[in-house]
Amino acid sequence: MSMYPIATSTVSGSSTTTFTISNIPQTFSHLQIRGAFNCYNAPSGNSIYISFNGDSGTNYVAHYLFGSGTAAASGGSGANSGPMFFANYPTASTTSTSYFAPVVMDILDYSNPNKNKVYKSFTGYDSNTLNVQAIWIFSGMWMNTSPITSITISCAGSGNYFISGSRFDLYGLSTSSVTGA
Amino acid sequence: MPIFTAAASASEHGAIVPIASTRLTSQYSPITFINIPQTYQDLMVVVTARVNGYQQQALAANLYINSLVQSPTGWSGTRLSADGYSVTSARTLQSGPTYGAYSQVPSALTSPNLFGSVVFHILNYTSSTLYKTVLVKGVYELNGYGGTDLSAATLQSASPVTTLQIGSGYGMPYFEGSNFTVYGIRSVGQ
Repeated sequence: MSMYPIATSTVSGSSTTTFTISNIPQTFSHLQIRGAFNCYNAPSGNSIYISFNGDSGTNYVAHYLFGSGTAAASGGSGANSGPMFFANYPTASTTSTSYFAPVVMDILDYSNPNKNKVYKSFTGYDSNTLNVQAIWIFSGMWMNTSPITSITISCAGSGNYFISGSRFDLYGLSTSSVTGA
Repeated sequence: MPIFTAAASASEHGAIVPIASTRLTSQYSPITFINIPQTYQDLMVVVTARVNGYQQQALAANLYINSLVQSPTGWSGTRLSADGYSVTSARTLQSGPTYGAYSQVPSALTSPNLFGSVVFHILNYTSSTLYKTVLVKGVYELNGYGGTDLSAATLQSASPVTTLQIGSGYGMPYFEGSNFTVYGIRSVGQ
């Protein structure tokens, strides 16, 4: 299996609330998103949301396994929810903009027209003496079989925006035509 | 002391580029990679290892950035662990023992063929303004004892990553056959 860069996007200003990657080629087997980000103007620990093909309807579900540093927990959305979380950001303080949360997310078989689209993401942060920390693994599903041609990522809540320097990269993963590996 | 210099450039195609690797032929710890090129978007470190751990079933594989194992200040980390019986979460702070970014690998002397797997992701490693947060995913199985670890660890330093050092619990040596590889992850245009 080989991985190839498809797109990269980095926030340079202070008012970006969403990332959208469009015209995703349908020539790969899987997608991976790698990002590092923080958001401002909301309580710490809020979520980053993802949607596909511009669908903002109640066609998503998600679950997570979570560690707070003192306890483990699990949770999730209700059925038929709107665009779903796939990561959380560490802190909303303007004095702590050096703390970004990394995320690595996989979307398998994204171009298959017969499958609902499922993602898994791995993310976490630990802001040292600010004592804001968490580790997460998320699952989510877009209940739509359409091939994914665009991805939108946004900060939760009204008025929130990505801190300058936040970035997301999209990669395509190819598989062997011989082994299917 | 084995120190491995990363390749200055690589000609491989694709986004994942191997830039340095070693497989131990004798017991040793720590493993040090220097001169990490500043030309990639992210780093990924892949470890398959086993530690000589006396009577311990498993010991830590600790990743440190830009410093020797003996002086890893400024780290904090949050961990989510499962051992087949329970799921727990714990945290380490720089005020206590400094573990860097870590997971566990097998260390039992009676299990010579059991190696753990750990993957470290270091995003934005060339940034000079961001602290460095490492995502860690590790597993270890010893046929009756084992577990999985997920963690996020932050080094409160904005310096670009130029050196990686992989230490071990109690400084015990890694066994022969342990393998350590550093990959660069290209972005568009790199």
